[in-house]
Amino acid sequence: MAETPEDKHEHSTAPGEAAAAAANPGSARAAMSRQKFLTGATVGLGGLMGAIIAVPVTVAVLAPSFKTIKEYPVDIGPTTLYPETAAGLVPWHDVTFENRPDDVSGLSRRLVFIRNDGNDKFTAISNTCMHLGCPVQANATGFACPCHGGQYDKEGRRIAGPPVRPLNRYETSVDDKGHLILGQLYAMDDSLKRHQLKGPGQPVDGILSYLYPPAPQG
Amino acid sequence: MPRTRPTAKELVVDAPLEWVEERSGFVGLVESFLFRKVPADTSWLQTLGSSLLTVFMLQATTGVILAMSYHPDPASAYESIRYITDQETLGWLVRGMHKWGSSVMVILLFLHMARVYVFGAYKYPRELTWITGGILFIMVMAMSFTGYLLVWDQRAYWATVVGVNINGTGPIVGPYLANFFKAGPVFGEQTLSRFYSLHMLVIPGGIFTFIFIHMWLVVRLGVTSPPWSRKRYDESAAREAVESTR
Repeated sequence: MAETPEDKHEHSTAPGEAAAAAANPGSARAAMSRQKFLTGATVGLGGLMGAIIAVPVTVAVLAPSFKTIKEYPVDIGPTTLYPETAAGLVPWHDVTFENRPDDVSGLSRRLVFIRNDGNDKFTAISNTCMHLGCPVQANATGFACPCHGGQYDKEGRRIAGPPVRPLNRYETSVDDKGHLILGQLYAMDDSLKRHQLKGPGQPVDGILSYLYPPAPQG
Repeated sequence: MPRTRPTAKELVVDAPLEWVEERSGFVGLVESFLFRKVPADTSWLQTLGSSLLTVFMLQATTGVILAMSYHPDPASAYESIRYITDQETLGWLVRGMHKWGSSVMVILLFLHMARVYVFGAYKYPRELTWITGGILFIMVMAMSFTGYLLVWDQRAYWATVVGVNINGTGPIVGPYLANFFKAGPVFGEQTLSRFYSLHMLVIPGGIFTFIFIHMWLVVRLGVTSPPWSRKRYDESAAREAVESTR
């Protein structure tokens, strides 16, 4: 494209000419034409208005993705409710509870398997399958998931099927009234070492665990 | 020439249409859409796209009717579904149409996509039609996923738990995506209303938009001949056809 004299003026204005153009914005020599200014103003103001609408909406929609898991200690009654079981029997007592004090929907109902290990020590295993989150059941050999056939041993370690890690556990303690208290939920690896909680299907150890940021708990 | 009295058809049909046409150009627009040129050997297989559009309109209409009685609230969602099915006049039929229509839509979508693939209709100059079709495909899948939860029975709940957790196993973004669907770190009251909003407002809006673009491209670029077509491709005739649509 051949450059016209006007183009030249617009792109390379000598210092004296710039001052003259500023004094008379209507002239063809103006640093910015009226049309250019209005186009810029429309795009700029339109973009600003768009951002004023879009930013709060996007933040509100995405904020729940970064929420921390809130957990409350739950009193599940006197330890006498959970006696030691004879060898050979299913050792688990299953208990349902609400993990949120203000729950009205029943959506926070959880099921936990309690085993009395003697001397006021208890093991509390969550029933959430570590394949994709279905509820597992206790049986004579351990736990089994009805959805996709995941099988676990008596300590909640995977023995067959698709789960990627052992079942989650709850911290347990006995208060001064002799009640069993469930604390934080945490994840386990195959050597029964404790890890920060992650969602079902997400490994907590090995190389793959780096692909899954843990959910912050509070 | 003596003036004759207008016939009934001219009075009732032609005159109002002419009035609208003169002011809006809508009649010409609709005519050019409905009476556009297609290859002489266009096949029945090429009606799958219009079938999909029809089923989408069915889903949109029955969905609006269902939304009039559905409560997106964990305490009453299931009861409202029971009300629609058992109490409402023809509610069972409207719900059944919406439920079975969703399966029909997914089946037709696969057939339509297979037809386009086998005919080679995704090739130049129709790549954008294929891409917008791919986006529509993803949105229809998202509709199926979000609609499934709304029944709020045990199957709906656990299937969605599994579906959300599958999203959670995506690397890096997976856990955040799962929390996005759940509207928080765990399933709660907000999960159902979020799915409801996605199902009846967000995704349908996207589908409407992309159907418009998809069909704009179909009309602009014309329909492909079947691969078994014996008619030789006549470039000058094709150019003439394209020119005539401008």
